[in-house]
Amino acid sequence: MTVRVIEKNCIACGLCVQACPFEALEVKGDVAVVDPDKCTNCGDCVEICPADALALDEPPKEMTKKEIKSVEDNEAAAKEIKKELKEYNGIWIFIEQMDGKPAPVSWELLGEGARLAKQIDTELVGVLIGDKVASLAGEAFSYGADKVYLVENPLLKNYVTEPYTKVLVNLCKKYKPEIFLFGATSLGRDIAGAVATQLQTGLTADCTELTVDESSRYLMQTRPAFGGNIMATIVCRHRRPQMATVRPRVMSMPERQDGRTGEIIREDMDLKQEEILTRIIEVIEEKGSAVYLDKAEIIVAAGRGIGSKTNLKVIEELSEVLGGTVAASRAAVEAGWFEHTYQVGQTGVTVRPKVYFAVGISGAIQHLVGMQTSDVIVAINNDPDAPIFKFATFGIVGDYATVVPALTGEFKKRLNEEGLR
Amino acid sequence: MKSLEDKLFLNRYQPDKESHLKVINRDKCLECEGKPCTFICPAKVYSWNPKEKIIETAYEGCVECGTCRYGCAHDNIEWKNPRGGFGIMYKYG
Ligand SMILES: Cc1cc2nc3c(=O)[nH]c(=O)nc-3n(C[C@H](O)[C@H](O)[C@H](O)COP(=O)(O)OP(=O)(O)OC[C@H]3O[C@@H](n4cnc5c(N)ncnc54)[C@H](O)[C@@H]3O)c2cc1C
Ligand code: SF4
Ligand code: SF4
Ligand code: SF4
Ligand code: SF4
Repeated sequence: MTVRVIEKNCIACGLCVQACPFEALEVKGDVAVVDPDKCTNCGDCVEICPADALALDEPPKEMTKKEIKSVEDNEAAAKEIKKELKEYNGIWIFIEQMDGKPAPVSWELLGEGARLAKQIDTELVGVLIGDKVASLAGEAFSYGADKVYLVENPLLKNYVTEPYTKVLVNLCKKYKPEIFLFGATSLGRDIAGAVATQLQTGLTADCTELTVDESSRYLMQTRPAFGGNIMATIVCRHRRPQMATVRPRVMSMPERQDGRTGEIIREDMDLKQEEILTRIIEVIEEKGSAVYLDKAEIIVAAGRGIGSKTNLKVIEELSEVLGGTVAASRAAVEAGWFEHTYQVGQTGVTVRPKVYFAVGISGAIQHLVGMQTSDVIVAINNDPDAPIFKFATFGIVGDYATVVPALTGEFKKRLNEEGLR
Repeated sequence: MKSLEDKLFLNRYQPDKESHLKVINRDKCLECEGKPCTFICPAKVYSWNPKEKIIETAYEGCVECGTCRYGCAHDNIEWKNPRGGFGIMYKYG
């Protein structure tokens, strides 16, 4: 057996050649090549390679007695607790609202929840709390909820962690949900952590994928970690409810079924103003765009290719017509056309909009890592060999000065025709 | 072949918000022949922007070798190490 070169990763740096004690490696042209007669599979080169381009094919590892025992112990313990866990039932979705306006992620989660509920044959429940929010229950039914737990109280008018936590914890203790999902919004992330610690159960933040294992009824909660470099799947085995927050706009919006109804269960909760330590004095609305780059749904980003600051106008016009936000590559920031807060990339902001326009941006890796998970990437560049085209959903080869205004004009026309703007 | 930027991406950096490299007198660059800074730097930190007529410094990629400081034809680069905790961080250097 010899070491394996993963050619697409190799950058021909030659470090492995120096590292190999048996002179089994050589850089030929653009890649490292192994001489199978010399290689002893010692692995020295694998550690040294900075580009993960070398691999030893590992022999399968046998479990030690100790490891086997700990697995068995675990399973025995799991069976013990399982009985108790059986009492927990139903998939709950937290219906987030602010001033009676629902967060769209709630409906996305109902869609996802419906899929999971069907798999493990359980009910889908919306949890709605606030002040005078009953009308949203109907909405929840039309997006798939079978049941809604409703708690109305003037003290729940604005979101405050303490009373909201108290209400949700009490509901969970009383009705024992098996799974409880929240949107990974600022509100959702705040409340989910508070509820999970009080219930002493597991919570996975910022999931992008959920599946459920039908036999064990475990919720497999998958989320990106290390800045998106690995995907981790996390399971909560011995505690209930299994809680997760889910990123907005990752799950698709379910179809609305008008006229669908369900059961509303009203709960009274004993809340006292004196017991709430936090008080809201004023709600200040967010303004300005750059600060919210990471939340923008449409981004029009400009790079060095736009040539000068005066040309920014065409970028701003496109962004304005689409209701988007402008952003920049490092080169555009360096040139002084943008503040640093607009920079997307490794040392700037990481964004994940629905649509990302990369105008006059070459697509250097340091830029790509900040935007490559955007749903749709539109690249406009006059160099057909620009790396950005390898990542773009749609690519237009051409001078931005003709392409962008043409796009802006056409978008304007279509949006007007459909009366959207 | 991979680009230099791809190779720089293998390095670890903690870039500061402000550059540790300063071109002292931009007028000197206008007359500087050959602009050595743009090709002696192993990380290609310096580049000539013909439109704005300035040397741009992509200081984030600087490997702190000090070459530019001596290579500048007019002693025109103010060279400092990045602040403590910032700049390049060699792993298995
Ligand atoms: C440690 C480190 C950190 C970094 N962090 C970041 C970061 O956070 N964000 C970031 O963006 N970069 C970062 N960089 C810099 C990055 O490597 C690139 O240098 C940078 O992204 C290049 O920006 P650009 O694509 O705008 O410019 P260029 O690479 O110069 O590309 C300009 C593009 O515009 C095209 N073009 C030219 N004229 C026209 C025209 N008329 N019409 C259409 N297209 C045209 C060209 O074909 C070219 O592809 C970092 C670098 C390092 C070393
Ligand atoms: S160390 Fe890795 S990247 Fe460098 S030449 Fe060897 S295999 Fe290629
Ligand atoms: S595994 Fe060992 S012998 Fe084989 S190429 Fe790498 S360093 Fe050389
Ligand atoms: S070498 Fe020095 S003087 Fe010449 S262009 Fe570069 S910074 Fe300016
Ligand atoms: S110190 Fe070295 S790497 Fe940094 S800018 Fe100067 S020449 Fe380039």
